[in-house]
Amino acid sequence: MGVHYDVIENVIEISESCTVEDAETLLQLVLEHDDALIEAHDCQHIHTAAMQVLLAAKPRFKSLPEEEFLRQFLAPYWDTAAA
Amino acid sequence: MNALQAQFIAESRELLEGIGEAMLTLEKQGSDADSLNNLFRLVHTLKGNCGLFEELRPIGSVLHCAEDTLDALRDSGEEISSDSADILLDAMDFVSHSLDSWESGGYDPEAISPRAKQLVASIKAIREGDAAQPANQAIEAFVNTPSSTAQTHITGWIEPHLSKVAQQQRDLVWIHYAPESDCFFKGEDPLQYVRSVPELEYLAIETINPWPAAQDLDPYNCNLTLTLASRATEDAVLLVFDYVKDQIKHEVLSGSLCTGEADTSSASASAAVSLTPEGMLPITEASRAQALRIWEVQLKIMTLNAATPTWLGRARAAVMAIEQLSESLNRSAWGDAAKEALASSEANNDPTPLLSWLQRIPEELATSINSAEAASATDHISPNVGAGKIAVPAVSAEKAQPDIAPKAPESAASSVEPLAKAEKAEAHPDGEAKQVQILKVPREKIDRLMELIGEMVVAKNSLPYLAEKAETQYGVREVAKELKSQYAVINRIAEEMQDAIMQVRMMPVSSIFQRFPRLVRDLAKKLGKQIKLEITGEETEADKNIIEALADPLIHLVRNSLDHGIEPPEDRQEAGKSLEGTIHISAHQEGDRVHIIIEDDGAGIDVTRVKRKAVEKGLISEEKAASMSDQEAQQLIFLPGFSTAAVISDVSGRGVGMDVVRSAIAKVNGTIHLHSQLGKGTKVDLSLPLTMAVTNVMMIKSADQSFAVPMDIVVETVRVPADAIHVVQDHKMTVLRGKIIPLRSLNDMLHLGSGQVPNEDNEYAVLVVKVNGESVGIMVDDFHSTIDIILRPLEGLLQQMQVYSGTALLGDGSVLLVLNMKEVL
Amino acid sequence: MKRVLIIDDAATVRMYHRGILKQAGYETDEAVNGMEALEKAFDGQFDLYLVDVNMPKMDGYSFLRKLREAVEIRQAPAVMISTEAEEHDETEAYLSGANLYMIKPVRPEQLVQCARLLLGERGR
Repeated sequence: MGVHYDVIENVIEISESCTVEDAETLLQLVLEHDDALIEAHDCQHIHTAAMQVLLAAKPRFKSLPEEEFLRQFLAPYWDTAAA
Repeated sequence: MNALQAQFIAESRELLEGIGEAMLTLEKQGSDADSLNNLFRLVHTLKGNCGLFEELRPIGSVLHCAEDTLDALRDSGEEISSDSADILLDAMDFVSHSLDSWESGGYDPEAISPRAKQLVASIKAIREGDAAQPANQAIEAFVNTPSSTAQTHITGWIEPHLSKVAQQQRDLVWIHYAPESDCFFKGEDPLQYVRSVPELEYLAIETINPWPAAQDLDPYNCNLTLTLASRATEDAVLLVFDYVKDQIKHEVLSGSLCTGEADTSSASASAAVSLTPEGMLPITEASRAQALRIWEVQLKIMTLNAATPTWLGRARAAVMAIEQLSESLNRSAWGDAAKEALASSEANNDPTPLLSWLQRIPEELATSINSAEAASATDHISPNVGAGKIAVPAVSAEKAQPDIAPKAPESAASSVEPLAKAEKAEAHPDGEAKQVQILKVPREKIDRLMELIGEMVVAKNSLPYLAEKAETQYGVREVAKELKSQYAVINRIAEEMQDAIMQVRMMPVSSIFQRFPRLVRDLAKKLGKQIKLEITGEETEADKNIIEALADPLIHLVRNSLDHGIEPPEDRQEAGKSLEGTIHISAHQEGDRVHIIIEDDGAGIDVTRVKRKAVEKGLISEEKAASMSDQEAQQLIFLPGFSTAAVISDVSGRGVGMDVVRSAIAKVNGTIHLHSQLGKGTKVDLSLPLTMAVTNVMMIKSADQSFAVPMDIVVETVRVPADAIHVVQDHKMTVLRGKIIPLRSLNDMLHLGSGQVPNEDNEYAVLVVKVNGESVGIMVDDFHSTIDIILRPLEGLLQQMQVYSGTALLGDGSVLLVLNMKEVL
Repeated sequence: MKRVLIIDDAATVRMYHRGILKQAGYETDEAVNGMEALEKAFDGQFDLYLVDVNMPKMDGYSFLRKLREAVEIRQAPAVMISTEAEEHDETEAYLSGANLYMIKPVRPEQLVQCARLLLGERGR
């Protein structure tokens, strides 16, 4: 769960919940695969620590969360040009 | 439900009624300025009232939208189309039902919110996408001038975010959340808190320090501050942050001048102002900010056009405001100085002395106590007073004048010019309209009063007994005589009181009639029929209880007329009738009865169908059906379980047959008569008693027991000699003035055991009563006087004893059984 | 005892304001429109006026103007309570004679704070 890198698609998937532990993993993945896009459509909640990663590293998003709160209030801070 | 809520409900119902009426009138007669204004005002007032209650916001939003639409219609002069009227009527129904559920406790703002939004959209659409709605204008104005005088004191940390939020003149609770950098290690997730904030409108995520390069990032060091705004209540929002309340700052922003405190370090939002022992206000940060605002406004007022007749009054009021303010803050020197400045201005007829004095805002007011706020606070001092540089530091009199005086008129001039043109023409008050003094009294109070008067009426009845006792038992004739005469006085007064209270309970039937226009309009539309509704005699009055009991039956009857009575236009045309059917509802008083008549010129009752249906349903036999007259057949519809509708349409409702209507009417001692002519129409005549509470009865004695018989059925009392009683085939009878009156013995009918007892002249006491149109003589042992009683229905098991219509409490405390002669016979 | 005249055509709103002010220790009286308010202003001695804008017969602005023109009577401060929040309405209010402008619904704390400053503590 949490965060997972899909080699075939070259995307970093954020699943349903992205916890405080996942933040570290997310950062590693983003650093390692700096051209990978973020798939977040299943995401239901992102821990603030993980949000910090997204704000600092500014990876590009392929898909946005369907979840209302994330979509309305957090997505504006992401690089969603590619979504 | 507290008093305010009750008042609100009462007034809202009135307003809604008025709105409904006004809408229907407008639809029928076209939009003229007066009616539209009236409608607008009603909606406006209702909206204002709803605004007092936080949870009614969805309702308020619908009303606000309706208000805007009506305003637009007012300006454009367009007619209200039938469809638009439908939407508005729907909206008002929504408001009405929501208020009903609010009153009864079943109100859920979340549940009705989607519907409310829908209505808002539909109502807006009536205006056809009018871009510049007044509400939007206000938002834009607000958004573009964040430090306008409507918002002189905005806390620093909120200001930058304001332009991104549409405030819409409602309170927004602002929270500035700065989580501790190690909060993650405490298990806190700031975004989780934010997510839990109800009705979140805005969120800004900002960094404290700029982000390092990604590889150097420590995700577990919290580097964010969160600024958010919510439309929920302050308490609700603060609750979310309860655990981290030392990490948040909060403020509630509203559109008004007197905003909350500038000091936001405490989480508690209480603005209770406590007084020093001497009874003076300490200059707390809150009062200082408030007082400064008031001072600034007075200054602004004085910068406005001085060449108006109101100038002197305004000046005096402003000075009085400053004076009061000064006293309250224990700085009366300010007030004195203000008065002096005013005196100088008045003496020289020159606004300058007062104006320049006002500009010298005392340092105490201008400087914020909380130094952290000082910087931001002074930036937001009223922009109309130059560039806000005047207040800090304190300006000495001589220096200030030449600098400031020219500046102020500058800004004043710009704001004054458009005003001078905008000065409205004086509204001329209407000629003195004679006002009827109306008192609104809660229903319970009237009922209580009625009860008390009723009890007194009964209590007074004991006086004659006492008088008798005094004379016969105690032999004090003089006292007896006085008692009797006093009783006469009290009796008269009691009866008048009773009359008076009856009058109070009398209500015009218009209260139920008024819902018919809307009902008829909606149903006619639904059924595709053209109906004209005529209402006459709506001012006729009847007892409140009766009127209320009638509401449902009447609605049912009207629905029947609409559904089964009036034919569709095509049918009417074929039959050579006018396309438009007429339903005439009228009320009038006849003696001590009130008649309500519902008449239509529809198809009438088809007796053949009725008979067939009755036979099918097993309600009558074939033979009976064949032998009954048309008149009798029409009455078949009153049988329980009867319905002539092929399909029980939802218009007439399921299972509410004419039998239910009849029993509802019978419950209030009313009767219902039906006349119908095939092809011509149907007329339903309801006859109801004028009043309900007190019955006049005659006391009778039989077999050593006392009973009462209602006087309204008593024709006469007569003593019949034993030899005048004839027995024919076991039935007793007598001849009275040439008419044969059957005689029945009360003792026999009630199975009282003994035979009737004649008096010493061998005469039997006979009470002649009229029941079901026939006269019958009831043989009793003796009659006594007539008295007024309050009929109390029998309760519980005793209800099964049909022979008694109720009981009454007598003056001497005993219980009297009142006979229901119909059942007895 | 400090007296406030509450002027509004909606009974519910009057009750609301009355409740708040009474609890804060002030005496209140009411008028349902500008005309009635003027009569009372001329008779009684009020220390503060709470004025609604939209009323039949005579609206808030007209009432204020007439009040301020009548310099022979006591010119107590007036707070105009309105549902509009546009700049010109507020200035119009001041020009007519208001000393303060508030938007409804007025929160109890707001009203009490204003009253305390403009009337002093209860009773005095």
